[in-house]
Amino acid sequence: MRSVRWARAGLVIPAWLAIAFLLVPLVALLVKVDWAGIPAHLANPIVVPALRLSLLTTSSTIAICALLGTPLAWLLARSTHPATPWLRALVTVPLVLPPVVGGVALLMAYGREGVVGRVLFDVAGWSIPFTTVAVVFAEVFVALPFYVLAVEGSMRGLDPRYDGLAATLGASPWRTFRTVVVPMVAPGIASGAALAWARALGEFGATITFAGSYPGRTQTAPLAVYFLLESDPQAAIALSLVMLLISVVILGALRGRWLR
Amino acid sequence: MSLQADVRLSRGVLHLDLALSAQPGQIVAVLGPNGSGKTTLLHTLAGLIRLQHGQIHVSGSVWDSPGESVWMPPEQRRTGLVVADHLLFPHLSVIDNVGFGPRSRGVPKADARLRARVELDALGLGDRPDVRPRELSSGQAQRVALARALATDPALLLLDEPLSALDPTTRAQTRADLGVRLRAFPGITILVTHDPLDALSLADRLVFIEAGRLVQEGTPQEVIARPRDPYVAHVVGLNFLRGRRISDQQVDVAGTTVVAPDVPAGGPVCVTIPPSAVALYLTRPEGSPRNTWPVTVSDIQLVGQTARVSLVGPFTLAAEVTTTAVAELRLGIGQELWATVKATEVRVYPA
Repeated sequence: MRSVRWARAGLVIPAWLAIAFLLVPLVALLVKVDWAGIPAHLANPIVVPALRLSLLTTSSTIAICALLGTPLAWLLARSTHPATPWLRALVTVPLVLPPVVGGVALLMAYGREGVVGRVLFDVAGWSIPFTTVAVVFAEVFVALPFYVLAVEGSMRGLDPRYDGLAATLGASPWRTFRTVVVPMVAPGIASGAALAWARALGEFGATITFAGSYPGRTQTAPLAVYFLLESDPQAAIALSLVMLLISVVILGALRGRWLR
Repeated sequence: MSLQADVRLSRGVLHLDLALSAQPGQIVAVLGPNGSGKTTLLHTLAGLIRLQHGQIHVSGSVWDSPGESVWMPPEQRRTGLVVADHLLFPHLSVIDNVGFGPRSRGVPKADARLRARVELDALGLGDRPDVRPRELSSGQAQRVALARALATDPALLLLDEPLSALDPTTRAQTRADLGVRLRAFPGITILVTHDPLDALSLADRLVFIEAGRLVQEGTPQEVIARPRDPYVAHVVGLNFLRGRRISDQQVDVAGTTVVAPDVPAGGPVCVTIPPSAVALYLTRPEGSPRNTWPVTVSDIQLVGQTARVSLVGPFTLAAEVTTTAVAELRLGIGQELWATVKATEVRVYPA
């Protein structure tokens, strides 16, 4: 009896420590907020443009993820080509890559002297680094894998006989994708988009490396928090609170799938 | 709109190699045990699986011919597919499910809905066009699936066990509706089933396949009269034995002599005995019919008022007896009995 109780304690105590470890910082954030001053802090000239920029870039990111990632997820889900598992592994690389390394890689590709960037600059006069477009590049680079893997998972769960049946009814592969597959995996697409969006919203390392931190142009909300922490800590805390709130809302939206 | 198919392909352990042809308006039932290649055959016709050899011609156009490097993708073939679990699109209303085919073939939305309406009305489903499939009963869903397949005016209607997922009452009603609708269908129907009742009540022609090969085909009457294979005989409910002619009235089956009224000339013969003609006795009957064999009971299944008794003797036999007889004989597995069959009940024909 006694040993059973001790064995139980051996499980319960670490479990509660883990929960406390996760919860304490969030509670601390709430404790340290200057609640009365929140409106004034949020009116900080850094905060509003940063939030606006984050909204713009993350929306663009999600649009690009949906446009490019959904077809990729479908091909990965249905392809029987022997190279498919390798391709899937490749898609997951940015998931485990340190974001700073992602930023360096993006610079090597699209920087003024980069593999693709040099051509873009010589031919069209475009320079991507340190622009709002660079922010979107960085966010897509880190968010797309989340989106593709989530959507592919739900597409693989779709009975493949639906594809065949739609084909016998005269639907081309594109029409089947558009009118059967996408509507039937809509919940998977929504949760993939929410995950990818949360990841893009929090993007820091790749962004600061590839796009810098120019207020109004490349300084997104996480970058603004980091820089405000020195000049105006209360504004940084208030902005953090806004981002915490957004995260909670996203978690709530995913509740149907994840919180059971 | 005739079909000429010579289907040859290997998939895993299945080696499909059979020829199939049909004329417009015909309903061809394809029967066979699980894994015999029935569904694979349908999928080659639909274009979901490619042939490795052979060809499929429908009304003169080539659908699949690996030898000529011709392959028509499924969306360009004129087929309609119905599967056991209906696979209606859950996110579309009933009418949009049925209109999906016409829409995919470029019919304007209003016309597609009109067409869907006609198909639904023909199956008595016109009253709730806007509900989602999950609100339908299994029988209704299956009829909507049939309407969806028919709405594209297919040359080939492919039914893959269309009634097997339904409960018995719904199945009988749906089978009747299906029969009425299929009679009015001008194209070719290929019905894959393992239910003899589906095949016998719906089809003009039966095709039996086993392990990917054709074992027998013919009208239901022909097949019932002369099954040529144990599986075929089992489907039509007859005991089937292979033997050799001894004389005009005697056949040798596995070393035992079976007496029959009319044994054709020649060597190998097929013998059928209806299970209802097999009588069972506890002791060897006096002045008995000439076909009397000692047997052991290996299984008993009750079907309504009758019992189907599986027997092992000189060969295996099934007997159909009343439940009263089961009680009187106190039948049990392992019990030893005498089975008799009147010679006039035995049918013999050349193998």
